[in-house]
Amino acid sequence: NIDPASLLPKLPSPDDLKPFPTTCATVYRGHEGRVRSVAADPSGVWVATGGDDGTVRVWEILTGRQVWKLKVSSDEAVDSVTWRPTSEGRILAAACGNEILLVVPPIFDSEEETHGKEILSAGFGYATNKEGKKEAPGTWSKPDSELEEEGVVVTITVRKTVKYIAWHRRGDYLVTVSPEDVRKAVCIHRVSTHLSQTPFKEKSVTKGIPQRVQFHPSKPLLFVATKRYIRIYDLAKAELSKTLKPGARWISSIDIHPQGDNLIVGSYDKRLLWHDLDLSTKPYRTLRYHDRGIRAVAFHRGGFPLFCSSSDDGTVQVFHGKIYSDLMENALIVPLKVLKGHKIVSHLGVLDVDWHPKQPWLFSAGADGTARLWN
Amino acid sequence: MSTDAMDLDSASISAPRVQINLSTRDPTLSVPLQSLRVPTNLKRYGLSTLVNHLLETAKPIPFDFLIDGQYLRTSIDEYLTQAGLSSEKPLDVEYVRSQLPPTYIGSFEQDDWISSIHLSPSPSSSILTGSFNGTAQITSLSGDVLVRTVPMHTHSVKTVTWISPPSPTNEATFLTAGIDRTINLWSYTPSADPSSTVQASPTTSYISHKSTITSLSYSPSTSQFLSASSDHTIALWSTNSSLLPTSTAPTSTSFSRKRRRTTSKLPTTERKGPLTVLTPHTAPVSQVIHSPDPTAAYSVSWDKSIITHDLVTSQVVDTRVTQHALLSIATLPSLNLIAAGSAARHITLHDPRASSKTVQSAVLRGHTNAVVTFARSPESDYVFASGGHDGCVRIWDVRSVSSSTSADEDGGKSGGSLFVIKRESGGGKVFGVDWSKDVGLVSVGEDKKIQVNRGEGMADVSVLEQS
Ligand SMILES: [Mg+2]
Repeated sequence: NIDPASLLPKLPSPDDLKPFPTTCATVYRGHEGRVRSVAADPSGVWVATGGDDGTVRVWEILTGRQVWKLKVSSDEAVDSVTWRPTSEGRILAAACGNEILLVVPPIFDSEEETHGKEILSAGFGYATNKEGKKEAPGTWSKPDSELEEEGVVVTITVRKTVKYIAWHRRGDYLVTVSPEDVRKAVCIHRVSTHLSQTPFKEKSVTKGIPQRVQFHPSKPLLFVATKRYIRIYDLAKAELSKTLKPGARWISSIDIHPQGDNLIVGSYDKRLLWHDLDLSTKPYRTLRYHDRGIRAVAFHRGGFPLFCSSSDDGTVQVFHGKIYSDLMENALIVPLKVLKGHKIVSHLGVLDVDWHPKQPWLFSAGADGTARLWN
Repeated sequence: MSTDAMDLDSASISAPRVQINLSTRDPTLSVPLQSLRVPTNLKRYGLSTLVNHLLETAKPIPFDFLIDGQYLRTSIDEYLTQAGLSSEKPLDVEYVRSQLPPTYIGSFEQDDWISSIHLSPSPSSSILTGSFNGTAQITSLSGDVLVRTVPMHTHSVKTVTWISPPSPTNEATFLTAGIDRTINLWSYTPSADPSSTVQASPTTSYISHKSTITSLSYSPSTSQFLSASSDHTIALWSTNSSLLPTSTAPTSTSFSRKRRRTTSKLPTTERKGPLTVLTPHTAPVSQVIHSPDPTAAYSVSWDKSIITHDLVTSQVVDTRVTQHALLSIATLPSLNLIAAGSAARHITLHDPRASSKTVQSAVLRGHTNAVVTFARSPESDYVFASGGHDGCVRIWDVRSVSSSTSADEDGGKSGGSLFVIKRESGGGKVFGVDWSKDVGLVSVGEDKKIQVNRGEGMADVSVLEQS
């Protein structure tokens, strides 16, 4: 005589899952054209953006004041900006066309600034020694004096337009993806030696057009998302370790949970997929809440059980996503809030998202030329 | 004289009545008859009319009524029901002059966002403001720019404070600090001619912080000042330079070197280090203020805590952890209360005494964005103003706080503001507010304006009567 509905786990109310962002607190205005990428710095005081106007900008988080701007290109977009994820050595990586700029924006304490520049300069001699051995997929060089004056320490030139950059957690390696490059789409760059290489030899890994790449937060694994699959490549064994099949037609974005056992996938076919890496190569949950394609997905990394997705429908959707240490218990996923404010321009909505490193605050980058803080 | 003789309102004659005992702390306003029976359907306006009648005022004075320390915002009947009281028992009612809504007086425009404001102490004659353009300036009450700082800061000034305000005999000094991590001490000799602008020169630079300096607090009685920073620390300094060590920190970053090359002849200053650095916070410190006893200080941080510091021993006296990142703080000394403004759009009131068991005693809601600045009323111990990134300055009276009926995450009591002052310019974030008897309530922000509002001269009180 038990009502079967009573056996179903009841989802907690969003009110019991506070704090999470609900309101637009700051609008960062200045970009001319789409804002493509947004990244909060590890100290949590600054936020960087990159956009179609070929600029990289740094803003004061709460006031929305622009504190630094670098015009990188007059005809190419800055498609990806991301901070080195360590507590010392404030370094911003920015991709513009087929160049990756490694920058210490002039907003830091002189000690931090010097430290950042030392980290980036240490490899200069190393790179020249190795020159000519084989055709490297990336060339490291000193920028012109104008860029150097602005804080750019080194640029890496690859063969095709870089769409996405991701750092390794220790901040010595970064991985980039250039989808147009058929042979060398994925490159790993090492800061300390100024060397770039393509990690894969096997055809099975490079099949398909890479969209996104990311290092595992603790293991020597590299995740490569093509349009349909996510291949997990073991960097230590130099072999393919697993292939995830989210069932999406065109993956736009991925993010790995900070504990490393779960993954979210966003797709242009509106689906947000949650993979439990221990369970199966198929998604554990499929969330269809967006009206248009998903552009970006992100887990909070500062201790809040939150994740989000942004879409060309102009919204960012915020979810509670709790992982249990008990392996038998599946993740708890609860939709919390739809953040509205970005305008849709030419069918494009919210192109990137990033969480504040410590606060339950969210940043979004819009095709409407603004970036926003939500808290 | 009997209250029945007064034709308060024809409908109220048949209404139930309650005995009230009227009192006031203002002897010039005391009424001849203190105890009377009134209809329980009376509200503030009816009671105000009654008191004016008793006072036989030529021109009505608007009054507010306090029962058990709280403003009456409903009819007496509704109050009795909510408080679970019977109309059989006499009710003690205190009356006070109503706060008048401050009206817009005018504004002075600058060329960039204004981050901070400090009025010179009474009689206020000089408005010190800090600008996002990296300078500070002093404006007279008629809008003349009296003083400008020479280019020295390489980034926005985020906080300013007077050390010695201008006087006919003394050189005036003040402090500025901001994104470039350096505190500068400035001095100038006031000009006799208000239409000429004097340049202030930097004399001392104070070096300790590794990130944006968010706040400064100066105590005249100890000649010490405090600075708070996004680097999570608070530094203690003296205006007596001989007490401070010489700073050996590197002089400049590449940005300031570049600026130096393009700007000719920058002044050189004496460079000093701090007396002490306090490090109990674990996130950016938003504001630090001296307590009424200048050997103690309060600070708030994005780490959600309010910390009480003993400045003599550098020890933490008390830590209150709230639920949200905190951005601003003020004391209400006569009430033993601290107000803290949060990134989550509300203000919480706290009793900072160690003996207090509760973390917070009330929540004030109304702002729709971060609460970043406070100013105490120069006239009432109960009243203060807050400024927020929603572009509003709100005026609060802690006595209008009432018990919250809805249980929420914050619990306790809640209250609404008495008045809301918007930007005359139309919008933009408010970054700073100050309040003095002479100047009024002055606020600055993203609209590049110093906006002045004042409660006085409000002959027409009908605005209030409608509310
Ligand atoms: Mg990003």
